[in-house]
Amino acid sequence: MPMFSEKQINRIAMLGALSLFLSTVEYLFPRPIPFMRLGLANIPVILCLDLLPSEKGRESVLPTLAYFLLILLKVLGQGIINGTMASYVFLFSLAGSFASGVMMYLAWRFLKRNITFVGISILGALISNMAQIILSIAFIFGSTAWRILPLFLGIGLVSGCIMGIFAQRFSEKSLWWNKMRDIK
Amino acid sequence: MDYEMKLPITLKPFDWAAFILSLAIFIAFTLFGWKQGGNITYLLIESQDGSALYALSEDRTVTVKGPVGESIIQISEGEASFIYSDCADELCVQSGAISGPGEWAACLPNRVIISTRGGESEVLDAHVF
Repeated sequence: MPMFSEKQINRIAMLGALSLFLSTVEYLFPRPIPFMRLGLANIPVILCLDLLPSEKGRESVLPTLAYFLLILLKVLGQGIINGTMASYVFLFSLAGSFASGVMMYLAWRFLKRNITFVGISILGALISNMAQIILSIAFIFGSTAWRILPLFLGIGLVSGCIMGIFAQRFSEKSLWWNKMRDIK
Repeated sequence: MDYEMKLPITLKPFDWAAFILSLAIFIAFTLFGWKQGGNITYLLIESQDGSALYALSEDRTVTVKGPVGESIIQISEGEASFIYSDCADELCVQSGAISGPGEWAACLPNRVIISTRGGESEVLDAHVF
């Protein structure tokens, strides 16, 4: 039995491709501050939450597994575009993306009524940065890595807000997205 | 047509909670970084070969090796900066000079971090290569 229907595969592929495209756009952006990242590629991941089953037994566009598959696609896309696929940066990115993916999923699943994509995106950025700093303390840099954290957290908060506002607005207003949300 | 001034989206309670939590953690770590500072007299260079402390008062150039090649760090007039690194983007060089409490610069691909360290109070547990 196939894991996803053809329609579902198409939607995952669409979101994955969008994420790859946004990674490219991000790569082309100049960085006003070193290490600054906007996190454009995360927009499809956040939006994807819209398509998941919100209550048990209710019909949904995509199963939860598809969300995590999309995160994997996002990380692979970023690895290809940024050329970090064969380095430790890739593993950090993978860990950060999955940690924040789980956090965003839980926030969305359990706080749905009281949170928008803005809060979800801020939490995602926070967890992604924390996970990556903890890994770099454990494996690469030692305790000096704590000093990097404030800058990353500050950037993450600002970019998390911007991406969240965009995703929320897009999810509310886009006709294209509303069509993606249709179950049939 | 009436133009109202309002936020483009309506925020909910946990949005604010997430924002405040994130801001609080950011402020906590920023203060933590400053507190460790005090009187800055040393530069700590950490690389895959180990870590080393250098006095910021003495001008010198230090070359360290990492996984992608060499990184060159210059200490001059009490400030330290990367002047060259064998990485693709040279973000470390763009980061500029560091001198104050809690400041750092890093070449992540080459796994080199430099950071400022305080004076007497700090236990010198680093070794020189």
